[in-house]
Amino acid sequence: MNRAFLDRFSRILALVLIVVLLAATKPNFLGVRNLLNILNQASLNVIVAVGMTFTMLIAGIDLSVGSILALTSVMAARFFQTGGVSDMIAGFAVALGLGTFLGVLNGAAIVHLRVPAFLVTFGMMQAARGFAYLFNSGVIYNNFDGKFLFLGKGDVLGVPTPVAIAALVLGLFGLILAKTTMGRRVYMVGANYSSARYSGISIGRTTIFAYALSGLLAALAGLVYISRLNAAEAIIGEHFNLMAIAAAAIGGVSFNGGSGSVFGTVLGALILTIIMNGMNLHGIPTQYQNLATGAAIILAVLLDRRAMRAEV
Amino acid sequence: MAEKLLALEGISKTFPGVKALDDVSFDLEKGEVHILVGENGAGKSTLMKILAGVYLPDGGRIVHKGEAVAFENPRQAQDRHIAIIYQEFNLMPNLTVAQNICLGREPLHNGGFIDKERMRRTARRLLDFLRMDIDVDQPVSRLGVAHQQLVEVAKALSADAEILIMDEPTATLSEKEIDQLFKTIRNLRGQGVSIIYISHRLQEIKQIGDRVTVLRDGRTIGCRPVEGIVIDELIAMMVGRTIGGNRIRVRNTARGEEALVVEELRNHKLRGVSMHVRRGEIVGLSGLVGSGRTELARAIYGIDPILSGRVRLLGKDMKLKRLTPARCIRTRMGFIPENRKEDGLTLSMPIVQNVTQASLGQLFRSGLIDGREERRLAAKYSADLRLNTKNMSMLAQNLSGGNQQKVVLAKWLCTHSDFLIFDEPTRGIDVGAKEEIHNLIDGLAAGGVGIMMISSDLPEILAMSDRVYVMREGGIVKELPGDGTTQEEIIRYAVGRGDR
Ligand SMILES: Nc1ncnc2c1ncn2[C@@H]1O[C@H](COP(=O)(O)OP(=O)(O)OP(=O)(O)O)[C@@H](O)[C@H]1O
Ligand SMILES: [Mg+2]
Repeated sequence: MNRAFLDRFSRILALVLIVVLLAATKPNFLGVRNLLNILNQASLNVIVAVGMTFTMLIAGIDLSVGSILALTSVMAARFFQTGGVSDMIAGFAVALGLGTFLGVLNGAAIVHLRVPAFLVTFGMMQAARGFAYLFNSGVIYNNFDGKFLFLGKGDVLGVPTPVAIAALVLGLFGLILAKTTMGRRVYMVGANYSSARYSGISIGRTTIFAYALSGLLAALAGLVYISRLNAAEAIIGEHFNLMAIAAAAIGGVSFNGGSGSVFGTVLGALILTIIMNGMNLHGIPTQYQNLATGAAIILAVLLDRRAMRAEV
Repeated sequence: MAEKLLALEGISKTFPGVKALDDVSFDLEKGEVHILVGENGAGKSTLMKILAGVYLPDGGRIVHKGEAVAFENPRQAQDRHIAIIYQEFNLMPNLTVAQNICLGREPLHNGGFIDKERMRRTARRLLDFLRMDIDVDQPVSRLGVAHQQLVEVAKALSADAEILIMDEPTATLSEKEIDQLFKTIRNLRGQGVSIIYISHRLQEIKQIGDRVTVLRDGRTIGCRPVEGIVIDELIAMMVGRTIGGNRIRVRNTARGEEALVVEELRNHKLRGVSMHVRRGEIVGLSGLVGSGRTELARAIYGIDPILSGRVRLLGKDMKLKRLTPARCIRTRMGFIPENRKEDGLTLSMPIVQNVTQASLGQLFRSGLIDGREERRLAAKYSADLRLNTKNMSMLAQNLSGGNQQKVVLAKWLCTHSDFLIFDEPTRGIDVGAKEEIHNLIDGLAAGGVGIMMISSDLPEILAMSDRVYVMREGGIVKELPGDGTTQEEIIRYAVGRGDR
């Protein structure tokens, strides 16, 4: 209780510190425009990272989110060029359905073949990316219908649509994790697999659920992403894997499973985005930005370790 | 008597919200076995962890060989030849027996590499000393809890201990291994080793103790020589009240419906086991460690695969290929495993979530958790078991060993099962609480629940069971009535000399 509080507090503190630092050095940092811009930039990562949080909570990981995002969005892309309602629905169904299905495949392979999540999702990462290239063979889909562009470029009462979607995802899945029996099972399986099993919790079903969710959210992020780009092609989204893992890790989701929350993950995603935004404002080159991201992740993992040791 | 080897003076220790130790004093002489007793949560393990350098005390001092010392970490205690066998196991499951025994003290070749041969020999020698015939090259995870416990003892011995602390070493052992352990303890004492020994099995005090100290609520109540001590007096010191003696329950001979029928069950361990338990009946399952008692329970509960046979649970024929704990729970069966740290509890979770863990689906059918209701239930079952904390959001890992066991029991009370298997239900439980748990099991049976109880504690088996099955080498060798059976009789069948 106490430690969880401190942990969450330390992350908020870090966020506040970075914000204060940037506000002091760059006056335009705190402008509404820049802040909305930051939220908009963070939103896609938030959507993917919420799914990642579920897989990490059961002591797994999903390396295939970037590829799932690419494959599902190129498969669905042509439905968004016509503007017809039934096409639109078909597009969403194809992307979200396929994303969920690939997630289920991930989960089922982990459970039934007893292969570590790292390897299974690494395989899926390669396979899905390969299929994406096969399927679209060099074509770039663009000129999407205006209605579809609302998803990535529009706004709801002044709030960019991606931010609104991310907020919805966050609220819904935060609730599932904190308030439902399914969410509880996710924590239990991650915290002690064996006692979960003796308590009649199906490890298989819980695992498949987590990976299905991760696939679903990757596909959703993909739709928002191609709408924002107004283009879809097989190459997109490679950086999402590591960004999502980084957000969760910085947000305090343990690699050992069983502890962390989607709210922590969102803090992590915000910290990441703000660091980069700040460096952009200061004109610091990309290589240094990667360095800073790396340092933030390592710091967070060290914090996690320290907390683990304090428990013993 | 020789000079004081060790004195703990005025030790205090506070954890957030709990005063675990309050001005406790304790001393140890060379070559004595000093027994430490007290209720669950009295502070015994905490005191020993302070002596072993795990915790720093908030107040008081430790005097070792006339010198005031402060152990900031376990290494410093080890350097003074103080070794501890913790209540909870500390073995590395994937390392071999030999690697575990020599962990941190591996013998080296001249080149600096580990001398595997010497390591094996050291391990072999120590295990021989304990009369333990196991393969030193197998991983510890393959051993049952009793053997793991003995490996812990060997590990402590390998440190050339002058002071050896044993925190409930016999909780997981059956009579035969306990005998062996006691021989070892006497042997060590003969060699001048001083031993601090914690146990809830009070009959052990007279067998091996020289002096006994009683703790209650973090305070020293008294220290007495074992010679001439009266156990009831000791119990009164421990719990601050008198409790009933070895009560024998009213046997249930009524013939209820069958809760469990097992026929010709076979798997890697079981060799054609047939048995049955009726509703309202308490059936004891006795046998040596390794005789297949836990394996039988695990097979019925769908944890270990079954090769052939038949399981009929609460009137329902179970499909053996698709037997899982989840299905058993839905059929209203529960299994309280013996290994609370690994299988019984989720240590990093609060008490409340542990209590409801096995009944989530049943309690919250809509899938939404009602936090208020959940806490109410957890508090109710914890109170029924007299858990000594009211704070339901305390993490399970911060509870004393006995209180952790109570949380495991609360978890299964919460499921309202019609058939329950208890595997060592009172392991690590103090005398007062043990009686409460016995009453509770008795009450469940009276309410029509069928109960199978695995226990290495023979008096417990005899006091509680309507019938007793004795197991040996994966099969049931004898069924005995609860009435009129003696411990000796059970042991005879358990070791395979029943028909003489
Ligand atoms: N790390 C900790 N954090 C908070 N409280 C703790 C911690 N360790 C022990 N306690 C509390 O201190 C008290 C004493 O615990 P301790 O483990 O010493 O009891 P014990 O006498 O060994 O009991 P048992 O017979 O059940 O093993 C208990 O109330 C326990 O909950
Ligand atoms: Mg203890």
